[in-house]
Amino acid sequence: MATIEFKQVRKRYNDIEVIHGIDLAINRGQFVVIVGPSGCGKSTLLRMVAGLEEVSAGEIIINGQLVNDLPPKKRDIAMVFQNYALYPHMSVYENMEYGLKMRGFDRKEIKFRVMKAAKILQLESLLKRKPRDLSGGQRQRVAMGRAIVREPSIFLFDEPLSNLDAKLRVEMRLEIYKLQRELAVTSLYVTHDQVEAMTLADILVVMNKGIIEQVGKPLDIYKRPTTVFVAGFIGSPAMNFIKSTVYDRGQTISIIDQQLIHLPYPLLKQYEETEIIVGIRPEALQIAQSRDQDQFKVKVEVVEALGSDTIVYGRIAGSGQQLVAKLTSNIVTHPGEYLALSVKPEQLHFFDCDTEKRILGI
Amino acid sequence: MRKNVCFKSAYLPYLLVLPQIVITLLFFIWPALQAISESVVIQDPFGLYSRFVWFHNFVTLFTNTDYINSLIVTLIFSLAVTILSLVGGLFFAVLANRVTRGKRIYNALLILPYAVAPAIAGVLFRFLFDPAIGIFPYWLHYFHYTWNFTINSRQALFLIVIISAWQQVSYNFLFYLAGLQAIPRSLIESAALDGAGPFRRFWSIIFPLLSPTTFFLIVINMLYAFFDTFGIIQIVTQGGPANATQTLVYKIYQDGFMGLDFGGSAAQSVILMLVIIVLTIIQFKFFERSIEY
Repeated sequence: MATIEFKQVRKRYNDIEVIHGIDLAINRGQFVVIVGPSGCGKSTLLRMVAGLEEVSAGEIIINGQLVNDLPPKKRDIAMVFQNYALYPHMSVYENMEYGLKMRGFDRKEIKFRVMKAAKILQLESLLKRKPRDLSGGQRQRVAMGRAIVREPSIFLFDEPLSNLDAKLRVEMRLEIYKLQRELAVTSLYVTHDQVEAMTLADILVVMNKGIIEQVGKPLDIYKRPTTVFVAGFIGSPAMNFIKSTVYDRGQTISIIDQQLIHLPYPLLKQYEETEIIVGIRPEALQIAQSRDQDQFKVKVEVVEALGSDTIVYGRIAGSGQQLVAKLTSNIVTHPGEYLALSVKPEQLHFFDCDTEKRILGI
Repeated sequence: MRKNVCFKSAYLPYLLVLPQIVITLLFFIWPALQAISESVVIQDPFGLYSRFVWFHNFVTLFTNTDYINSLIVTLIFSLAVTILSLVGGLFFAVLANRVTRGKRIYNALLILPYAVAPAIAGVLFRFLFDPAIGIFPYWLHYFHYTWNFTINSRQALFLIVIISAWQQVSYNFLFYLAGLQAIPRSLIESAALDGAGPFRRFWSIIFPLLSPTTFFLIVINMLYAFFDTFGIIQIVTQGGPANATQTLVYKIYQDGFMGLDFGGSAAQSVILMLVIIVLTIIQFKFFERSIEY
């Protein structure tokens, strides 16, 4: 178990900076998930913790010790790679014992630890097999086993589930979750899959273009995204963003012409007569119940009936702005029809047009 | 899924494979049969008279100390060439694989020796190592070492080993470089995190993963040393001094074309043919066993 601290960590390749000053502190035993689109620098950050990439500027501190110049093997870290990186010429047992052998453990201890890990991961019957004779899920387990036998102070996961099919991914996600809680080892997990991110994380870190956009508990981030990027990235289907103007001393937002949303009190006083970005989660939209309710018309284009919900893609009548709504499954609608949708004012998110940051105080 | 191609015409498929079959029959099967048939007869140099002698030619060979000597020379020579060129190729490949800047230049230069014809290479090294005018003997003189491969049999063998290996290093380099590049980076990184230093990583991960390449190259290099070194030997030592560099192929040439002993020469060819067949079978058998990452 260890703490990890990042202080103004930067990464440059030649003259191109890809990570622009990361500050982050991770506590003992926490499961931290870094999520972001591809190319946001999340894997690079992970590899810098592992010691596989040099730190161009700033400090990475593990357990109070500066590790910038420490080689990977001295960092007491185990990493699970996306392609598992199992040694193809070694059996499962040999794969798992390799790290212990390199560290000079005696045979008895090695055997004890490998058997223990094999038992936890249900690999006992596969110990003599070569990686090529294993299924994707089994390989994944071996990769996990190789990480846990070392009893490292930090686990690093680099998109470990992205090579698995959907069903297996859900299973392994649960297993990783349980295993991490059981072992309580500080873990850093990189993924671009927001479901993995939401379900696994104690602390979620959302990265974009080499900076941290937001850090927090998954649900807090979902409920109060601080930037347009985070709001759009977390949640599926993605949040709708609509440019609107504020009127009536900050108490009314005009989506278009007559389609207004009234707020219970003048929330947006300082934005009177200016444009803001209104964020509406698809799941916050409902069919308007009565005529007096604030509502706006949407022309339906595509309907996806998933059984549990019905996802409707359409355009706001008048502006042509695209909109996605996640409605209950009993709603029946067809392309070409108009729907009157409403949203509760407290479920709206407001962002500044220029800074794309959340309008505070709401 | 692989689908068989269907031709409408019944003749077209045969027509398409015909050139290959003709070439094989003309240049491989016919000469091979000729060698086999000649290996069981004794004939005079002009081919006017020949007598069927069963396996007499073979029996003579294995009682002939010259042939046994040639066998030993070939064995030493081919092993030395194989080991030297494999180690060299692997060494350069590992180094070149680390280079990031000017990669193409390094690679091109390392492949260059392969483009030199064996005879040219022979002439080149003959000048470099010439006892009278060569630069190496001149340098060796300072260490009070007398170099004269024209009279010292060990030096002669050493010299042709060096030249042959020098030529073959490029070939091995190419295969090893491709092999190294096929190893996923994450494997090496994983081993680094597991606590293995560069040396341990090489011997416990990289080298075993290159074993299919190594095996393939061992067979190819053996074949090379057996056959393709004729030009070098012909230019540099002509099998001398005192048959010290007379490999099996060179002896076939000398006995057949210089000595005009067609029967004996053909018998040697047949034996050599068996050696190639065995080597090829081994190669095919083991080469299927490739490693999947």
